[in-house]
Amino acid sequence: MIPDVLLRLWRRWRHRHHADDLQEELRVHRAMTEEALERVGESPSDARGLAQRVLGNDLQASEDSRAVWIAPFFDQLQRDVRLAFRQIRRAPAFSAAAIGMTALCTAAVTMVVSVFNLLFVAPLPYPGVDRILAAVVGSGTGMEGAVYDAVRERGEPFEAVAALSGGAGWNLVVGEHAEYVDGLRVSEQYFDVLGVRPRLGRGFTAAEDMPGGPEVVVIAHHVWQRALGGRPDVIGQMVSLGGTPHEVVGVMPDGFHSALAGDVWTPLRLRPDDWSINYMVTARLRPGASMADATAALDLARADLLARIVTEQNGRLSALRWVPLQRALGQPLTVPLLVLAAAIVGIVLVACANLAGLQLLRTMARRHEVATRLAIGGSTGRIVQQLLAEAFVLAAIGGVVGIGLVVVLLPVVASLLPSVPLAGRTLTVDVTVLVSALVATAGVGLLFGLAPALAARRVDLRSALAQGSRAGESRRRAWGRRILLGGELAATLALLVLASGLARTLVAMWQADLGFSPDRVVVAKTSLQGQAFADVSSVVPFVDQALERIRRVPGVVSASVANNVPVEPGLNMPLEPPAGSRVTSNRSVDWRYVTPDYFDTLGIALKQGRVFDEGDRQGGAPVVVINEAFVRTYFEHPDVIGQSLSLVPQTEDPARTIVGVVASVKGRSGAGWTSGISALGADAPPTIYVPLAQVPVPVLSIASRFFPTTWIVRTNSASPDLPRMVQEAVRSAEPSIAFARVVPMNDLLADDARQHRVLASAASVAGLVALLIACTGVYGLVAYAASQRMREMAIRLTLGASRGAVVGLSVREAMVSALAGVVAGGLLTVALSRVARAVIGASLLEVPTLALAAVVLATALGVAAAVPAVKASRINPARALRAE
Amino acid sequence: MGRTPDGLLPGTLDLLVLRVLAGGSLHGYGIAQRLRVVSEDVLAVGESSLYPALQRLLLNGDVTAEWAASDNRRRARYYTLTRAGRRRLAAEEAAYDRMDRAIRRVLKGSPR
Repeated sequence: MIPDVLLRLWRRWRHRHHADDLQEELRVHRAMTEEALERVGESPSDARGLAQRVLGNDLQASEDSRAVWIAPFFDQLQRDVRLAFRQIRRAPAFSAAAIGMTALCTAAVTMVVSVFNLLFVAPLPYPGVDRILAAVVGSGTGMEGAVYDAVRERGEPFEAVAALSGGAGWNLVVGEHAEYVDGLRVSEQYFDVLGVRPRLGRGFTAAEDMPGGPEVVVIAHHVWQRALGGRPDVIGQMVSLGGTPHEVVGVMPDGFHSALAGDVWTPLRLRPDDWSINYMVTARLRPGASMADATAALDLARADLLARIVTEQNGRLSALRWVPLQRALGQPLTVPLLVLAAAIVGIVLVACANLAGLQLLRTMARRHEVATRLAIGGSTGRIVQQLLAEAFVLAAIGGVVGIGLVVVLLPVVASLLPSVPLAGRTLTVDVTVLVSALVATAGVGLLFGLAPALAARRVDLRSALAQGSRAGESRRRAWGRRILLGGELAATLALLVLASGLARTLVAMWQADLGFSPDRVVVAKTSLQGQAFADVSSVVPFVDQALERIRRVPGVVSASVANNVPVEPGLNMPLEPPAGSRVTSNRSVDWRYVTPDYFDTLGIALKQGRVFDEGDRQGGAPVVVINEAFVRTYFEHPDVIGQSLSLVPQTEDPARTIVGVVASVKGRSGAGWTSGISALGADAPPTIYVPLAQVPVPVLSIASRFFPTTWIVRTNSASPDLPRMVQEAVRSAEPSIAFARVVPMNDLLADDARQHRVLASAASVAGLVALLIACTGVYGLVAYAASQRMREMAIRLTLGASRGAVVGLSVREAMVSALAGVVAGGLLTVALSRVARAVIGASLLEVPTLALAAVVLATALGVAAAVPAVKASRINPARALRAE
Repeated sequence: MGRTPDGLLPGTLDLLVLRVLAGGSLHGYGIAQRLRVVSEDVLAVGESSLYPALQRLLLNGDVTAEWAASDNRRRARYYTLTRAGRRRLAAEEAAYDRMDRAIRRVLKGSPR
């Protein structure tokens, strides 16, 4: 019996020093014997000899005594394990299923634990990382630039406060060497916030962080090595970023990764009145200052901010708060991860329930063996011990296979994680992984080993001792089984419906009208950041010339330039509500500059008016094209041509006349109009298009700071040389240009859908696995129940019940469980789809799917219940009665 | 089955040790002495049977053991009967009595 086994184990542990105790005891015994002999007159030497003779072989004594402790336990363990292996070989199908399920569970649990650990527990590689805070609103870290100033003014509890902004890459040129590097613009104290000092040189000074300050740059270790050959006299060297000479003032240490990725860091030079949501604000808490101090300071800063908000959207700052940097970076992943984790936990539970069910079945099949062993004096404790050993041996094999799976899959999972929250760390097989794998394996082993072992003990005792008693299930056990069955159904149902919902949204996404045609469009990104391209009067001639050369490349149909492409966000620009607008306050909309061919190149349909042409130049009448989503959001009437639109005055953008309306294009909004992880699943945001030639200098510099300039080329060939030829065409117009990457538009779309696709395939696999597992499990449980009730059915048949009635009874009972499971599953599905809606931005709940899945599962259950019942009712009642 | 090396019936050593310990805690040497004295030198139990028996009783939870100073200032390991041990002693005594009476009845009976 279990308590007895534990008691003996405990005693063994208590006497774990038994060998030493024994030696000492035997020595004392001998000494006492010698003393006694001396007392009766023997000489000490004679006494020793006599004692030796009287007491006999003390080696034998200690060996025998020690054997009492060791032999039974290890001997039994060894025997159990050997027997377990024999049983495993004897039932290969069951063993394979058990090992497979354990491996799956182990791998899944381990993976989730490692990802959570990496994102939220394992500290980011900065000293005192728990004192680094990030400002968030909701789950977003995008902040108005004004937040930075407000926090600094109330910054007593902080050692350092910093704002940073990722965005456009740079064209880095050092002598002959040119490369595209990712740039991060950071305020003066950024490196202090992270607590990492440059390896060479220094960070930025306050003067360098002022608008109009000197052009300086801090570079990453690998840039120093690659572009500057690792020269030790690098500090003070000039490098060209975007055509402007920058002085290198610092080199960061090897292995340093900023919390938004960057290869080079330049001063942020935030203007005091920047209300665009393009910045991340972080701070390092002073030693001794508490989180409450930080919150109090932020409350004051928030009050300052709310007193002077610029657009209605800035009102969101009332929800401003601090969270640890690590949490802020991981936050966007929390919900998808939780959904996945929930799905995995669901599967693990279903799998364990099933293994327990299958084990029960096997236990029942081995009842004769067990009863025989009991009858000839085997203790129930031994039998339970053996069943447990079997479960653990199976689990251990499964665990090893599972760890193998983890080793294979971990790099795949790692490649799916976004780089932002990792700061250079990767997912590796480490102690966390191994410990969680071990715990998961042991847990699964215990879950599916313990229950049948205990159940077997109860059943076998009764059938062995109390002959002729009613051999049915106890009420408690029957309820346990029903709950198991119902829970399994509920979990499976929810997984199935959500998986099909996810798969359906994915398919719908691919089929959705994107608003443009991505086929045979190639996209190349370059940086036009910097002095050389500050003004449209220098940009436009270069762009026109480069586009002209691209168009001459064989296979090119048309070409154009824009900041970003569809799917990727536009620049968020605060817009004043136009006359007669439905939106009555300042709001940001997605803003894109384009060259006249943009709409043609991407195949965006014109709905009203005209698109841009060569006449919309600098100095001409300011014009704007809007999309249908804009019309729907802002205007009562679709007749909008000729109306006027203005951005807020700070942008220095003139009032523009609407000359055309184009079809809406799906895409992630830069201005917060869409939510969800995929642009393709979301509705199109209101967007305004402005001709590149008419962009004022300040706006162009903002756009170039945040977005790469994108060359969009439609082709009619799939020549592999095309990307190279496009690059060469641009370079021939401006040799210093470096390209980030040239990719087919369709790849960008696939990238965008990737997270969605990962979720969808994970959920689909989860759903299918759960269905498979649930089917075997349901069959096992129901068959077990039927075999338990064989005798009862025999009695009913003997007393004249019809076969139909007997089968009906079994089916009816299964249906009660099915109904309960369906109801619970329905509720679970509704709850989970709410969560999923928040993540994916589309509803996953489909009542028809739910209903269909419920009917299918209930039918499967009914059949599973009927088949064993029919079989049971066919056997000779006399045999069934005797068999007990 | 035969006889144990000490001339005891199998299984009776545990009973005798429990019986001796019922009179109070004792160390291994003391137990052997007591058995010898009480049995008037008939039962001389050697280390090689006494200590395995004591380990068995410990493992079963019939006795507990503790190091303490003995009367002649030597440290010795004292064994004490537990409640479970007392119960077992009673049960084994009863069983032994039954067996003993049965054997006696057989021995006294006519050889036919």
